[in-house]
Amino acid sequence: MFKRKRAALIVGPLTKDSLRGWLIAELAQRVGAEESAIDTAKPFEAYGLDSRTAVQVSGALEKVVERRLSPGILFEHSTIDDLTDYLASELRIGA
Amino acid sequence: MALQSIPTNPDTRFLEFMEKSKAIEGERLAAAIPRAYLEPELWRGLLGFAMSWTLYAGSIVGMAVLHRWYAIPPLLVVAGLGGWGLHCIAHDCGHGSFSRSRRLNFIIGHISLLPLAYPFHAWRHVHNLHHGHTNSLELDTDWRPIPEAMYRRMSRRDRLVYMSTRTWAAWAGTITYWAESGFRPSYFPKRQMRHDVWRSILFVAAVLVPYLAVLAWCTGWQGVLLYFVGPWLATHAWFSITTLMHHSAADVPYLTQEYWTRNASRLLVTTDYMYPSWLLFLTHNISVHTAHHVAPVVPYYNLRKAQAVLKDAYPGMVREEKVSVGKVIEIVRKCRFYDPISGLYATTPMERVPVDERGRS
Repeated sequence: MFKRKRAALIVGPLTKDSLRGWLIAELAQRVGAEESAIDTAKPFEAYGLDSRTAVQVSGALEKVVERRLSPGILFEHSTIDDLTDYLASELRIGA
Repeated sequence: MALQSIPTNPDTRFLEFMEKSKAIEGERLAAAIPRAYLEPELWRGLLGFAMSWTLYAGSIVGMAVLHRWYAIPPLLVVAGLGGWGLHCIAHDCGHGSFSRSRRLNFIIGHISLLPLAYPFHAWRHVHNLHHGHTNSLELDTDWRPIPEAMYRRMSRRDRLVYMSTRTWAAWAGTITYWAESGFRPSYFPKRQMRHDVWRSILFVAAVLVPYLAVLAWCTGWQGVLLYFVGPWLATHAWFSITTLMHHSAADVPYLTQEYWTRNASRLLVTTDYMYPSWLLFLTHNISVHTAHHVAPVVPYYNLRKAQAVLKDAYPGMVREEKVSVGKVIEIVRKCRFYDPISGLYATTPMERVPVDERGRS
């Protein structure tokens, strides 16, 4: 009842692909869709992601990339592709 | 795609700030500070540690021995000063400038933060986040203002906390900071940070639970209030007012990622408040703060010398003012909300909005 849900982390090295995969899985789980139905070029808002959930995703993402992120990062980079490109460049990680 | 750029119509002072920011782009600021100023001298650190513990514990013993109501307020102020001095020693420990030994720094840091009941690693990590993002509108952890429109959309409780700690309860602002960061390992992005924080929480509990139990047994709940909670509140008052004044001023902007630069965050967003010498001594020069942001490893006893060389190397860049009660009042009166139009604090009074229009802006 009081057990808190732990955010899933990436197993193995952090790469652009693993980051994109994590975002797809996270978004699919948050909006209750199949991962295969997630279009990485479609804005988060189009999936009905509200601002509270977007901030929660940003908090979970902080644990994945192990650095502090803007709570509004999903609004600043509004698609999975855009967000992955931004993070890959900030974290200097490759594909 | 980024959001609309803010500030939307930058104030002249914002533009002047950006000119200065451009002028120091690419500079190695810390190179201006001689290496000798970065060397810790352990005996000086230990002397400061002993002095602050003496002030803190001496005031508490004084309250118990004198047992006079009129002695309590001044002794609480002194106890707070001792507790705050200990925080400043822990501050050096956190930055590795207390001694060359990481282990000793961590031990002294943990002991120094006991009067605040602050788990050392929680404070250390949240403070490093502040250093990494000073005056970032999105990421700073200390006294980051929000726009008024955002304030109006917050819950009643959050509005109460925000507005109180920006006005009549500014002296207690760090209590919310303590509660948010001190006992919430999930606050920190790295796994190692979360482990560190757990260890520090256990240390604080292992020391303070028996201490407070004995104190309560011997002196009753009034004793706990007088000899622990009172000095704890007084220490937070020094902590809050000092940290509020470090980076808050009507002409110092908070910056979005578009404008924020590491060098400007180190040299241009801090105000050095020059206390009388005796107070600088008792607070371990914590208010001489720009040099600390340029090179966090400068030990507290070298900060004034480091400040002098920075002023020579970067004329007109280091903000320095004499402290006064008027200054504190001015900051509390003016620095409440971020103004997304000018890029500075909104210094005009908050407009009244009819109840039925709240939350629509």
